[in-house]
Amino acid sequence: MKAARTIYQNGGHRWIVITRDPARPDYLIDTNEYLITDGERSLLCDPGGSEIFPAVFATISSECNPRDIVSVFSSHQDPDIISSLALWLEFNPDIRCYASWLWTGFIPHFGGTRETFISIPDEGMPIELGRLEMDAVPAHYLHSSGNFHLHDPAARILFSGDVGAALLPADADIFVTDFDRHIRQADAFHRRWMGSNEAKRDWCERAARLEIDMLCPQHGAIYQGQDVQRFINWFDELHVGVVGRPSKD
Amino acid sequence: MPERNSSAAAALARVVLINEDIKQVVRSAFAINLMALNAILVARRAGTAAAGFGVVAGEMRELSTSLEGCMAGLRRLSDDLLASVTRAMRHGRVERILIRSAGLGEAARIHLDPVLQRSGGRARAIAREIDGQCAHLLEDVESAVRISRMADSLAHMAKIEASWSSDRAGLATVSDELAQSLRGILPPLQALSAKLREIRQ
Repeated sequence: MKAARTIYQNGGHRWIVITRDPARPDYLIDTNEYLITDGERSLLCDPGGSEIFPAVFATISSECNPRDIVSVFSSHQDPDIISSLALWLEFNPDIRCYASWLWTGFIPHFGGTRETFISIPDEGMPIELGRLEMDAVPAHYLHSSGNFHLHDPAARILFSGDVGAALLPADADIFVTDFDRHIRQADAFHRRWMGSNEAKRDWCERAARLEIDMLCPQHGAIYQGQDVQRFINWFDELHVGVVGRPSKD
Repeated sequence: MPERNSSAAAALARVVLINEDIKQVVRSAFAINLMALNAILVARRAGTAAAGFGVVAGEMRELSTSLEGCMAGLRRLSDDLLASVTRAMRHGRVERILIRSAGLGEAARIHLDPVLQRSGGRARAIAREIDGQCAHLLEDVESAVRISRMADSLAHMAKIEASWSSDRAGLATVSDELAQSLRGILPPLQALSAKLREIRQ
């Protein structure tokens, strides 16, 4: 089973990370799922692939009532992000899925109907959960051509999808503890997966304007405090979209 | 539940083979249609002595057209069966993961028990649907078998008619070819029928 850890709490407003499954087969990429709760309503960020649904569901059930999950946020269309959608809908057909308009015709191949999806326009949109008002922040081409992050201004947390991701061992710390050492494990991933330097620069400028205490990627460890800005600066300098040719830096 | 899914996978493999059987019968029916047309022309050339042969060949052609229509219907039904079997497989996969989830803790089990009950009901409904489709397909296969048996009788009649004709050798060759093509129809229909009965089991 995965571990659940509350990374933010203010009354009924919580962020829980579901992470690090020691029983996960090594041929499946490790993922973090984030459950945002306001009272009795929850939103699950990138619910994960169908193969890890049992671990995610059991962990969430042990921590809170999965019936409270009213929506899922899909940063993009990849199978490790959203292929469990059919299973979540089997559990609760009323769950709604926020996803880029670009993918709302593709993700139903994993499950769902026209009613399931709430399309996010390219420029982003506000997302409400109970009394919370969050924002779907554009992150197109990072790495998917229709990609969004989720910013919770009250908690000052940015769910950053694949941005900030690192492939770490199962016993790695949930938080980044040594930025310089950690970022070496994120370097190759970002160079290969992030497709556009222009889009990356846009995102860095956008992220720098947001108030962020924690930057929460879908793989790896959470950046907090000063490491958030350090990451944005590092990413801004990184030359991405390279494969099969020497990088410029 | 893995049994349910493996039986759906086995059913899918059988549906693929059923489609191959259908294609084989359609190919034979098309060939018979052309041969019967050729037989009509040969009979015309042979004159009044081969008039009987020409009538039988005409009947044969009509039967092959009926058989082609019957197989087109079977193809549509088999497509529906394929869709249902695929749904059963997909449902089985979802159910298997839900069962694994329910086994990971008491809280998960409590939340998933009603979902699994619903899911079991849906699986039974899909199984009933597949059974109904197989029954329907079997009826159509029986019709195709009846048509091909009638065609077989006509092939015998053609042979007799050929023996009375002045162009005995030419018409005998044509009627032999017709009979040979007809012999290619019954085995795939019987195989198809057997596979449908296996799915129903």
